[in-house]
Amino acid sequence: MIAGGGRTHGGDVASGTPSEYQIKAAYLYYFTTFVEWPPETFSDNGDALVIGVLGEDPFGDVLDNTMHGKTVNNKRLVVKRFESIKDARESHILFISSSEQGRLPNILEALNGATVLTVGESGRFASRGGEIGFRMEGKKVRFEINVAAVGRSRLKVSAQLMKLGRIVKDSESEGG
Amino acid sequence: MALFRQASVKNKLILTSVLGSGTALLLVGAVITSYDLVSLRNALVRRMSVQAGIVGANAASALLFNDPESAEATLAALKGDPRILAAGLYTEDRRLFAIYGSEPLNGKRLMEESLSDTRDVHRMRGGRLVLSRSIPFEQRTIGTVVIVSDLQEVTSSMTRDVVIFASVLLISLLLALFISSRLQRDISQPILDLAQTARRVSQEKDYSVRASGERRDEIGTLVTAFNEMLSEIRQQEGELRAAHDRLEQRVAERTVQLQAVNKELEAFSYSVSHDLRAPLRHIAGFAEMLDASCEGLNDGGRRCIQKISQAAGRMGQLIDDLLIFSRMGRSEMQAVTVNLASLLKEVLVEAQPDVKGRVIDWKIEPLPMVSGDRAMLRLVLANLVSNAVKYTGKSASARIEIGVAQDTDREVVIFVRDNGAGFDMTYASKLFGVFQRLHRADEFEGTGIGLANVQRIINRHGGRTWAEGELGRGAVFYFSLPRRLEAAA
Repeated sequence: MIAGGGRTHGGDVASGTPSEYQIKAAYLYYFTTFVEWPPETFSDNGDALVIGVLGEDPFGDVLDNTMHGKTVNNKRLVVKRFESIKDARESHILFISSSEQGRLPNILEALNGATVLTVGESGRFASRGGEIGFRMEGKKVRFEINVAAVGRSRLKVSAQLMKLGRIVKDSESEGG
Repeated sequence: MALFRQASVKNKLILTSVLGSGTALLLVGAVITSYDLVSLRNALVRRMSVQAGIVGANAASALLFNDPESAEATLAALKGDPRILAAGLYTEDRRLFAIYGSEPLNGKRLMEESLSDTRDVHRMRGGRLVLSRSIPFEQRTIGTVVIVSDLQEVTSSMTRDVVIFASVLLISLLLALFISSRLQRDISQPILDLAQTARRVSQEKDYSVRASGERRDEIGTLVTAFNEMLSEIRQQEGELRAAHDRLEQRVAERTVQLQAVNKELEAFSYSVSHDLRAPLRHIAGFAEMLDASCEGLNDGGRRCIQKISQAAGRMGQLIDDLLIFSRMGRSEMQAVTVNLASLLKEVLVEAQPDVKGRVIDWKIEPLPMVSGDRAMLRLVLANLVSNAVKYTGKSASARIEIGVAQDTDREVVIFVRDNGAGFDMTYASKLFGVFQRLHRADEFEGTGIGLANVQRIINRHGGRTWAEGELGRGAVFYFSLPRRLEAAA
């Protein structure tokens, strides 16, 4: 069902069915259009909207291809990969790789107060304090939204996005 | 149109106003209805367009994140509008992504029928409005919303319009009929009255009737003029009749006078003629006796006696002619079919003694059958023939022609032409008078009564007599007899 969107935005896969990460990359792009960041977050990096990946990158070049040449509200989409959590604070969307699952509480702790939309794909990412967590429903990619976490990061998430995601609460702040 | 022309003024007036108001109303109704139709359709298209826009905006995320359930939930909001039969969401490659149908089974079919392109279009077909709006996302089109809505609203509104309009039309026409049949009386009634009056005048010649209707419009003028004409005609007719009556009366008076005088005259001439005969016979008889028995008379005396005898003879002839003339005026006419040719033959035989020793070139054409009094017509022919013979007496080579000058359905004209003494046309009118003679008695003998008798007889037959002549060259006498004899006094 996502074929149209995925194929067009991924642009690098010849086969008919887009891969899971092509879909996820497209979703990351769409998130930029349904989330509103405070204006000051763009002032120090020359009007670029930074999509960061923290930890092991599962996208390969799919993410770069997806974001390549795109703008949202006149802001370029820039993909950056971070090793250090400190650098990652400057990103607008931060995809936290499953490889960082273990130190997720620390990462979230470190990002406390930053206007960053955290996205992850590890199990129960959102309920553990992340803002949007991907999960698979059969072959479909779905997501959960932790409204409280979004509120904490001072981001505005469009109702359109809210109605699509499953709303979850913080269930275990102690982390694992 | 021909039917209209034959209609009465009344019906024309009614028809005119009813047709006029009907046409105007139809026009207004058609304009209003079609304007209504267009604006209703436009309004519907606008509303549906707005709906499609809202649905498209709300369903954009569902399309992007591939969530048909959410999209269908968005579409389901259209349930609020009963006009919307079905709605569908298409991906940009035209696959049906989500669907809504007021009747779920129909929805899919409607959608499959509906999508032909993804542009922003609408079309109305089969009582449905199909409207599609593209869904924009970041300068791209990510799909299409298609809404199929029922035109039932427009149709029923139209039906309502038409029903209202038809009722208004009907009521207006009835009103127009009512009003015009009331008002037309004001125009047509005086015209009808006028026509009726005119018919009466022309049929009964009754000029005393008057058209009614005192009014200030053109019809009033017409009525007044008509009445004035009638009065004038009536007045003139009265004057004419009075003049006629006066004339009649005068003619009657004169006729009575004339008849009296005529009778007196005839009685007088008859008695005179009759009474003159006896003394004349005495004179003639004694003159003869004197001539025979008195031998002592000298030649002078004998000549005197001969003159007396001659004069007495001529006077006797004159008296006989006068008696015939007065008889002609009074005797009954007996109309029979007369063969003019055989009558002429008899006359010519009788005239033999007069033409003895003379050479006359007779030229006689066949004569027709006429109707009239045989004895009288015989007298006519005898007079004319003897006249011709008499007045050619001095011609070297006498020629007398008798024939038909004209033969028509109405009358036949007979002529008697001679090449004798003739006469001066100046006196032509005097030819047929009693005792009127254009020649002296010693030139041509005669009493001057012959042609008067001819004229009297022909006049009694309803015909005319006339003559043409030239001194020394001869004369032509004509008489006409009508084909159908009318009794004349």
